[in-house]
Amino acid sequence: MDVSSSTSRFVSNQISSSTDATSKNFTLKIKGSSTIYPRTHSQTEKRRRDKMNSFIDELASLVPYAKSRKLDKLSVLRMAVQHIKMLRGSAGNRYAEVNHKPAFLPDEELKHLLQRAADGFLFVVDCDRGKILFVSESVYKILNYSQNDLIGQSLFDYLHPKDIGKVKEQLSSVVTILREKIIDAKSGSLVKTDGNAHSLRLCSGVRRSFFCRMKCNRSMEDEAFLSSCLKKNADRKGFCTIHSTGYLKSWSPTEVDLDENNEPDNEGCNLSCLVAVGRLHPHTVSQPVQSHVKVKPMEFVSRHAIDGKFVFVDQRATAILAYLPQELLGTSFYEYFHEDDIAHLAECHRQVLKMREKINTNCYRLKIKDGSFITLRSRWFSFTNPWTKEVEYIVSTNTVVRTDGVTPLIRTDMSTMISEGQKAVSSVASAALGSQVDVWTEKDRDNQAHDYRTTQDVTTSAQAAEDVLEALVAGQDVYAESCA
Amino acid sequence: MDTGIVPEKKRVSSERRKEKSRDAARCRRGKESEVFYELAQELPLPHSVSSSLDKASIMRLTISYLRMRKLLSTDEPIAEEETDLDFQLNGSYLKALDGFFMVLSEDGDMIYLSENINKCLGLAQFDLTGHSVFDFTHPCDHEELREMLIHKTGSKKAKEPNTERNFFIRMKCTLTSRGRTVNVKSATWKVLHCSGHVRVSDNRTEQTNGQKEPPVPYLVLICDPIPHPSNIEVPLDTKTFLSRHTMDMKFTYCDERITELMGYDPDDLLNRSVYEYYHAQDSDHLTKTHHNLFAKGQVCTGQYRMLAKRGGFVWVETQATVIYNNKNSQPQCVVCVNFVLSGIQDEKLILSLEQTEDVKPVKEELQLEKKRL
Repeated sequence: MDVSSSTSRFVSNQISSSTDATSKNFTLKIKGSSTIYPRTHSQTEKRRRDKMNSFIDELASLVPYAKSRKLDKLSVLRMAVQHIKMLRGSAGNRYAEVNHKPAFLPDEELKHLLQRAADGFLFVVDCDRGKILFVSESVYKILNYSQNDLIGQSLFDYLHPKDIGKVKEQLSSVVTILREKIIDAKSGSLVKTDGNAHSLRLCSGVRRSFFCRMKCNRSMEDEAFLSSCLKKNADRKGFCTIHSTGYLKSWSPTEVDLDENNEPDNEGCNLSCLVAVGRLHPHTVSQPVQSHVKVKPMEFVSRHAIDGKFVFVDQRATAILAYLPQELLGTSFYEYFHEDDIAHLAECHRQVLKMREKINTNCYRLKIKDGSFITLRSRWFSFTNPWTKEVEYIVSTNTVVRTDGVTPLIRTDMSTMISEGQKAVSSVASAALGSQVDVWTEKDRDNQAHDYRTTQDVTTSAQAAEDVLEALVAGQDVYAESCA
Repeated sequence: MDTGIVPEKKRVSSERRKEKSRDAARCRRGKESEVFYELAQELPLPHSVSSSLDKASIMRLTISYLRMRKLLSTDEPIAEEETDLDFQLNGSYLKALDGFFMVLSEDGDMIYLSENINKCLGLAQFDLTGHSVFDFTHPCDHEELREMLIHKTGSKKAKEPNTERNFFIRMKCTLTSRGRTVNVKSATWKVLHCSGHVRVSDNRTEQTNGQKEPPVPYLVLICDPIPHPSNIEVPLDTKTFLSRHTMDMKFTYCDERITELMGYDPDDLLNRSVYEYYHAQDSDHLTKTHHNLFAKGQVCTGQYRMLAKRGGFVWVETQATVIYNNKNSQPQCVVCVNFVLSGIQDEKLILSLEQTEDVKPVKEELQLEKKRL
């Protein structure tokens, strides 16, 4: 059945393009479509002829002999027939069709194309013992283990220890964990079931889809390994998250390549196996490649309520500002701005809420734990709720600026422990926090030589902050309320 | 042609000419039909398909077949030897996938579709092969799709252009929730998560004039459906929790499984916006994801971090679906299936204001530290 004619009918129906994913009848407007619905038979005929002619031209470009010659329609078609005969019958056709079953694309070629689309591998595991009965060669590219390394091994030896339980659940053919609640499609409400018939139906199907962390082989050079880990979003210990989809299949032992030690109680029994494709999920959050040299963090991200109050700080903030997160959280950023910078920053604050664009501040000074100042530059943008379009909070990416003579207050041994932009190296952050004590009690004498206000009246700055807020709320021009 | 009075001789000869040309045309058409038939037979198609093809279909399938062969013919020779098991399992790749496989030419023609497209969309493999993907996708997604097809060739910087593609489109679906098929005229839209790469066929075959052919870019994609939460066919393990939200993403329900995974009591979350619980470095990405969710109806987030109750965070991947009111087709709520991918990372690390509620006041901590020293 040729769908093209029904397609054009579909196109010409009047339907509205809504975001409704579940409605059955909908209208479709092809924007900017220049398709003129044929009104007369001769117009239909002309369109058909034109279409056929363009097909013939395209076909001619694909058939070697016909390509550079101006051949008539019949000849092009004849050449095409010959060409296809040649392609299918040629000795070079390695993929002899299985059982003479015609395949538009033989399975083997399909497999290779699939590997070009996704970083994935096929694996077969026995559900009872988790033994890896088969894994495709492509596993090497992803986990850096060869087929031979893995076949015959237990899958559980190659999983993150905390995911073993989860995978065991998935391998069992009758999943005992019953979802007590299912979603009623019509109302979106969650309906509690008695945990019987309906849930069992959901759970005893043959398909499986789950995530788990699998080990990557660390035998590579440390540097190369770490950077490839980062590409795969693997954590430091070398696990990457694999999304596996597949089905349960019952195989007789003769079909499957078992080792010689075939356990007696398996004889004659069918093995329940999971046949699945494991895919490495593509990166969603881009991250900078870890540099060879450990770099001190020069940047941190913070999130602020509309009034400027800190509601989130990432772990690098402590390394840069020396405050503990709990000291910052709940306080307003105005408490830390240098007096002279408040006006400018208040204006940026007003702008970011009003304009909803990303704002770059000038360099400004921020007070750190010991009372000294460091120079930062920030990029702010207001996060608006995609649905309500109201501002929920402000996200600030803060970068330390190295100006002359102002050294960031970071101890060198801390800096070796902290790597910039490293989101996966989580254990490091706790270590960094542990050494906070050293930073606070030891003053960096160099900084004291510079001309800056070491003491700032906290009440003055709080008042300044309040004034600014009032102005913002009232929508007034902040400059008029300058605190200078 | 003059229809006036024509001398008899001329009339006879013109009639004979017309007859001759009609005969010639009939003969040509006959030959044409013969060749078309032959062509259909040569294509590697199941007989049931090839016997019912019209000429236009034969053309589009032939063209697609030849374009695929061109694409594949220039690849690295496959040196590996296949074991029997390898061979036997070749067909399992497709079966294991939830979705189907698609190869798009640079101009958007679907030159290959795997046969399991019918299980996903109800449409048949050979009905669609050779057609333009734009004829089967939602018009609002066309611009995005066009961008995905563009392959930027290596720039002067010699930096490899990013070939990865990861996006969501809506395609026509003739399957009902009960598994029946409707006519394509009554098709609904189904959201597909497409992921793959732009590849270039490094065409080594030379043209007859001795010049090398230009490299042909193509897009290989795996298109996965996102299960509707009311129709999840796979078992969800204990590391998964469900949540429901109003359209502005405030929690209206959360499965109690979240407690063992993240520490929260479901009641803690009611009426709180989910955006408060996202790690700030992921909020950019998640915002884009949510825009997609509201535009298309479903989305898959990829991996991101969600803050745990007392500190630190967990890695999560969420499948989100907008539920529409059956009567007025208005969006009603968002249901999320949240797959928790890791344990709590950095449990002691305080990241957000909410996490400080359990933490001792700073002065106390400092005193404790001093005592330790």
